[in-house]
Amino acid sequence: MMLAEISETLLTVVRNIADMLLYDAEAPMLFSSGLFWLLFIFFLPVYALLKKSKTKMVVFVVGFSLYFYYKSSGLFFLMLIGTSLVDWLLSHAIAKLERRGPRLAVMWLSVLVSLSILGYFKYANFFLWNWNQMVQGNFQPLDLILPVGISFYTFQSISYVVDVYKKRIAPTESWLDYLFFLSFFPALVAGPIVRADYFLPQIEENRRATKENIYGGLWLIIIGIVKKAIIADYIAQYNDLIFNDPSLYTGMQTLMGVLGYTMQIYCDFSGYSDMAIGLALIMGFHLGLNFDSPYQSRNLTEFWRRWHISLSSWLRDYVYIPLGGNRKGTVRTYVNNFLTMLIGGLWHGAAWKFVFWGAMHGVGLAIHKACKPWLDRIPDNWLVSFVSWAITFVYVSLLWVFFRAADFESSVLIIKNIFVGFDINQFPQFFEVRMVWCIMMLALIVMHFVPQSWTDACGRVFVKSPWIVKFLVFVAVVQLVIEFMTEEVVPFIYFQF
Amino acid sequence: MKSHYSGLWLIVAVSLIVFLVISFVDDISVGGWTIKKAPFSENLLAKEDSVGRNSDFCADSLAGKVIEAKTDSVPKSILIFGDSMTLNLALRLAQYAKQNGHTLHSVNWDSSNTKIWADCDTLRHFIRVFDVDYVFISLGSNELYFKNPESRLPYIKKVLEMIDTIPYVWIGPPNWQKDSGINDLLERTCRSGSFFRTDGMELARKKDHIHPTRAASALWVDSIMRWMPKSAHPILADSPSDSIGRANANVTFLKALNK
Repeated sequence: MMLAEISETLLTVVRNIADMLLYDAEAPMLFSSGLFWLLFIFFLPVYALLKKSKTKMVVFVVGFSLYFYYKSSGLFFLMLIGTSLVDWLLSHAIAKLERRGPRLAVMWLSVLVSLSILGYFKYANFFLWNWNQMVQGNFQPLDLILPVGISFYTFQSISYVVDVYKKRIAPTESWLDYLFFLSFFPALVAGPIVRADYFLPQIEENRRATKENIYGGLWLIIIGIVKKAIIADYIAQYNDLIFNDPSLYTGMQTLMGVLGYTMQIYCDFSGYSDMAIGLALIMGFHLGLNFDSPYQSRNLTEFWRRWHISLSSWLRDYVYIPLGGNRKGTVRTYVNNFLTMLIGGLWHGAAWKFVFWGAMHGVGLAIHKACKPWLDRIPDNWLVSFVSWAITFVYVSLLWVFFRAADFESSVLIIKNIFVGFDINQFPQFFEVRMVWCIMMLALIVMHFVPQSWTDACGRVFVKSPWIVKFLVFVAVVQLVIEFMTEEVVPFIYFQF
Repeated sequence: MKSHYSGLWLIVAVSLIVFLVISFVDDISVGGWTIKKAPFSENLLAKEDSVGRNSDFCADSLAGKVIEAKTDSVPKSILIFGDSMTLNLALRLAQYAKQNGHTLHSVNWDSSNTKIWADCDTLRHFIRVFDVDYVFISLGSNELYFKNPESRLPYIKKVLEMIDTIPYVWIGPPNWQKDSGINDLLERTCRSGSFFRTDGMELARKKDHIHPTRAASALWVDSIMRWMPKSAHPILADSPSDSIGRANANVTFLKALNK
């Protein structure tokens, strides 16, 4: 009887583990999930053993990355393999061709193939919707699933082919090396957008990871987990309430929701980037900095140098500069800037709200560029710094409203609500009922504004600390994730009725 | 394995073992604070779902499970209470009440959820004041996307305890996206034949894309009333005649903070 029960329990456990390892659209593999860390325990020793041999390491990591992608996007991992093969073959064709015309044609063929796949999966329904609006048509939306991370790896593949065309890099000798670059699991689903000229030499060098790399990577992962799985996921619950039903909330509550979303999107995105960069660092690869305290920026140009750096530098190098950059006069500079931001907006999602968000950033950048000669003449003191920072922060935060809200009408309602219905006297009551949320926001703001040198120093202390300290910090952070995972924010707190 | 990798591996592996063990042992409390557990044990030991997860419209799917009870022909004092979905439901329900000789009282508490109703004696108050002998509950919409819907179980049970032996129908939330499990939880917790599963119904929505329009809510009530004979405690639910006109839903609005 006892034996039968044990074997049944074991069978259940095995079946559940097997189920967990299969593709589930509802449960993509995230770096903050228990399953990822379970797999990482198996990945790490094998990786450490194979690291000496570049080929074995590449084959193993490619295999793991493809499984990682399968777990998140099912059979689309085959499309990733196909895309990489086509790019790799075309890049070799470009390298072999001597004349500029055919080289250009092959480069464009590769770019168009990549963009067509992205366009089909991400923008086909957006196009159909607009077409229906314009011609009163009734094309039914296509039943499409967006492969996870397609926007990121498409941009990586485009930059690779363009760089080969421009002879900045040589195509990889082995297709596996290119597949390694394109499918590298730390950066596969949410970036950073790794550039071939930066990353491919690292595969070739196959440098061993130092103690600083390994524990520095763990430190970044811990920071990322705190930002993403603790702060962003918790404060998001309140922000979602405001954005889902803005008409129900007062101006003060709405303002808190907007500020909350401003910090949430930063924590969410930069937290995931930190985890990706940390994982890569553990493996001995550098992905570069992706967020550099963007809300410290004192103007919009600076903001885009600090926010999602891998995307903004990609847009600069592969859209803005090819459009002419600032080489074709003032008006063209503004137009090029505007178009680049428009594309940047559309990259974030297939909806007009993203286009508008991008366009308004384009307008803001143009205004800043136009005013720069005049602004440069103003003496740089703390008051000027503060006013510049405040204008930039308010502008960026208000544009996040358009980015997050369901539609344009909701965005306008939210902004109107803040400007018309704001009453500071409600804050003590708000603080009383949403103390955890307020404390988290406060901690986050403090964390964001402390000098980078302090954060770096903390990282160094962590790297040098004894094993037991690292272990306890890791356990404490994971326990915090578990504590907050089940902490729900109620829609409203009522004092009376 | 390289020594630094061994150190890292140990950190991750030992942590995982610690959390795995904790998830299988009894609750650990430190100075009144109970350590929350990672859901390893639930995930690893979960049996195949014995509850049907049919997300299609439920009236027929429930039919097989519920023994048809005899319709109670005595006019009822009905209370419908819940979140912001309640008002539009009540407006149509009032016409059914008028048609069938029932009395309807409605309590609409915008954005409320099971916890809010469980934590106060508002429900007991209205049940007593209106001498209620039939209840419709419209709660769950504000808990559709909670990461841990199981955490709502104590509140759902508390609400049902307040209703006590009074026959009830819990009207499931009208999902606008797939929920995180509140519908399954409600279906499991409510008495057999007392949960009307709304998810899967296609309802026209207001501009907020969340609340069904008044017309859609009326159709929603019609569906509930068609299902009524299959419920645990059917009451008279003849369709309102075309000439019924407007009926008073006796709505009490509970106001939110600062509004």
